[in-house]
Amino acid sequence: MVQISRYQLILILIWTVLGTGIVTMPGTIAQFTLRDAWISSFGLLLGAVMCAAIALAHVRLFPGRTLTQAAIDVLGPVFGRLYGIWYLAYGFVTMATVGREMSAFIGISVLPNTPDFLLAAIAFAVSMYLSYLGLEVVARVNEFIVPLSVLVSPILLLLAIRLFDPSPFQPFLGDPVSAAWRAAVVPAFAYGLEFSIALQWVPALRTPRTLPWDILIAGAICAFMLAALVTLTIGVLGDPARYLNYPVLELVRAIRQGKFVERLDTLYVMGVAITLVIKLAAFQLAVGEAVKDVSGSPERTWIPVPVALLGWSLSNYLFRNVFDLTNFILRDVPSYFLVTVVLLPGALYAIRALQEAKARRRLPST
Amino acid sequence: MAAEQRVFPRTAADAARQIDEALRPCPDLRLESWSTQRETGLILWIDGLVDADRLQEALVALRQGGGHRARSGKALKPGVATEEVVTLSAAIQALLEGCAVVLRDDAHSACVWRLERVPARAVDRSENEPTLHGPQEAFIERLAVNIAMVRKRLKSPRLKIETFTVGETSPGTLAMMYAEGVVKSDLLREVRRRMAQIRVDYVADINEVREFINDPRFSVFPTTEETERPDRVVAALMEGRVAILADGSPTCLLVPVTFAMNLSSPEDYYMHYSLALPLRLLRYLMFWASVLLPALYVALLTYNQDLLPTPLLVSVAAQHAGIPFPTVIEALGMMVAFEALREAGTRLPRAVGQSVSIVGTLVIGDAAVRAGLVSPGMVIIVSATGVASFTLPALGLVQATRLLQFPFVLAASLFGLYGILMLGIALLGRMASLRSFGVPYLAPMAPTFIRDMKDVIIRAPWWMMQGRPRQFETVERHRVPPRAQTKGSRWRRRGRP
Amino acid sequence: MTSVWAVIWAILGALVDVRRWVPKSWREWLGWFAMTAVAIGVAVAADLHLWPRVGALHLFDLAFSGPTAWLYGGHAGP
Repeated sequence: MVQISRYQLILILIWTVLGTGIVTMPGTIAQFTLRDAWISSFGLLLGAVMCAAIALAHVRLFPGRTLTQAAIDVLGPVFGRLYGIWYLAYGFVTMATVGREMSAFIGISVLPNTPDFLLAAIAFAVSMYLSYLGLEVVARVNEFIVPLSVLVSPILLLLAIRLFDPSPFQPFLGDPVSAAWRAAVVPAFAYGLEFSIALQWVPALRTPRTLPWDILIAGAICAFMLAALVTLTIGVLGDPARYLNYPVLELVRAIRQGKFVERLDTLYVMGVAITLVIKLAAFQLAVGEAVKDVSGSPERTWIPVPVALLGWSLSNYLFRNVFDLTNFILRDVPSYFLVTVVLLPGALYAIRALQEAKARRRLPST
Repeated sequence: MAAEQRVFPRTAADAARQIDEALRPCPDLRLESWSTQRETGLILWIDGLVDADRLQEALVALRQGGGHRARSGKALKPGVATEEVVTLSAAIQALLEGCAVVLRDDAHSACVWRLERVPARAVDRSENEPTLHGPQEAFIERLAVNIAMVRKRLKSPRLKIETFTVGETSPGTLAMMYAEGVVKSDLLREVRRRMAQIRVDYVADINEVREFINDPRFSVFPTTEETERPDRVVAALMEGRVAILADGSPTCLLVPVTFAMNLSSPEDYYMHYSLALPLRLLRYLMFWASVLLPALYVALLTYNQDLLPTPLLVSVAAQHAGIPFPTVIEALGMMVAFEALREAGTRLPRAVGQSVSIVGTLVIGDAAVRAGLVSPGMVIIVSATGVASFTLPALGLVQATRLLQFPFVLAASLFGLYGILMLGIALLGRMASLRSFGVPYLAPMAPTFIRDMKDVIIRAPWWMMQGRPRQFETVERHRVPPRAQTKGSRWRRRGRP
Repeated sequence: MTSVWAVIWAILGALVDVRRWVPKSWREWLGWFAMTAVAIGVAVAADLHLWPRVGALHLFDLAFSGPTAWLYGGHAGP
């Protein structure tokens, strides 16, 4: 089996979380607080810590197994598969959410006359192709894109920083702690817990034992990048950031340099589209592994087509508009993800630990 | 054919008759009798394939000195390499390769004189990969000469050459060259395995070999490197790669190859290293321009006008007003016309070809703009795309860009920049999934080999490139022993004030 | 002798590797049909604007809005 390196894994995780992070998270955070928004960005780190703890238990108890395989190992073929189906539902709902976020964003910002379902169809088709080519190829596409983003991001940052005004952050730490915490809930429990998809790739990791550290590294990088972006967005846009769905888009629109450098927003949208397709591909890979485990199939080449088809269908059906989507992310996703990728796997590992302890106790007596 | 496998008949005349029957009609088969005090026989050769002067000398020596100096034709002429064959088919094969076959009565075998002088052109300057500096020689159609040209540059016993005979009807020779102790053994095994799978009736050109041993059998991207420069072959051998030559082809295949190698020119290594960076950056830019430029133009005009600054948008829109076609039709039409001109320029004799290109680009382009069929902007874009593709050093990559620009224009016409981007990601995924003899095609960028980055976009000075490329997993990792290197650097440090 | 159709099929297969997309065992077919059937059903429902009063999102809301509100420290939303 082709395996990926630590560097590749960290890159995939960063793009997976920041893919939607650079679109919606600043807006979500700004709804709750402006002054302490930068602290709330570190909620992402809290999510990464939870995922790292789960990953630590996983690689100790189930080296070389995916999360869904571990569930079947612990709970048996019937209940294990039931958890697998629960995980599949999580994967499909997340894919649908990402797909809908993408189609809405592209539709609103670049192609207003094209139906959203068509935009989503193209994104799902391309991500399906990437997931068909495999985890290693997705990792390489990530590696190829990194130098470009490393070149472009500082330029955008420098162009935007001239418009920065620190007044929205004054007085420093002026909002109550509860506001900062509530702003951090979505980064921590909705986006931060997405790091857990790496558990589905454990057999494909060259060094699975370092997975917890890799998640922490990716989480720290994401948190710092998000904090910088949120600070910049609020500093440039000020109070209106509170009411915008896509404040970063407005931030990029605000950038102007002379008569020639303006209207960079389309380029930003295209950059976001790349990260979103990679995020979709990453989720399809994770879901594909779950489908493989639940169906007991040795092959994974038949999986991408139905997975992408279902993800696309759900993205059109579940969320009729952006309001449905935002509401779902704010009201339901945090606890849904917490249950699915932290509490239930935690329970699995506890059962496994008990089983092993029992086996050890029985062993000396025999 | 069955008769040819038989052993030689008793008399030379019978043998000559059977050979003649196998080859007939064969007006260029020559036959002459010879006799010495002890032996009589016949000598056969094919006119034009044999060095006539040396043949005459050998014949004179055979007739004059054979009697008392030796019993057979084998030892008669020390200056001629000889070989004994025992079947008629071997004798016929030797004849066809340009040897003279000496038949003797009562011998049941024949002596082959290696006097071949197969017509071939002289070693000339490289036409397909010209450089201003550095060696200028290029391979020719003779394998022995090509191997010698590599040998004269790589005077090391570690240069190994393995030959394969390929071709059912007309057996030809393929040579596989590598540097022992540098190249990975798995790579050698894989090349040998793939070479053994070649099944053709004859090898016309190295391209047949390439299509047989290529990695994905259907891919527009070149996964083998082709070169006609022996200096480039030697550089590749020292990087742990394998070279394949075919008799009759002036081109050498180098495997494995990565995408980045297709964008580096031999010139980069023969001039000052600081110039390689801007030139390579330009080539990378030109590669993407040659694929994307018409598509971007279509996208900007049809969907994403907001990306253009207002004065430019006004100018472009004014140009396009009055053109009776949608932008995509205009673009596709111009691209097809440009491809037709390019093809005409290549196929016609050189003098006519140039005038066709000039007439095509200047006269027809200008007339089309005046007639209001195409906008001047489109003419500029399509010709700029063509110029961009000409900057690519690898011909295989140029062909790939010619094909790829069409789907991108269609994607742009359907979904604008979003369509280009989505197709671009799919293409990137496809490129990332390719491998050339086990080496990822996008290496050393993806997967990242930081050390190998010294020769991708930048070209580090030679004294910094002491290691061989990691991506080829060479046995010897250093070009020179590391100890010598530290000695040198210590000396340099001490030498400084 | 390779027929022309075989060549075209091979090129198509290299571009879009359809042959490998097909499930092989009955378990794979079951999974394939289950996912595709739900996908088609959902797509038809979306096309016909069939959104039941209590849809999937409502169920999620019923199950998870309470715990999420707890995470927010008592009340959801800004």
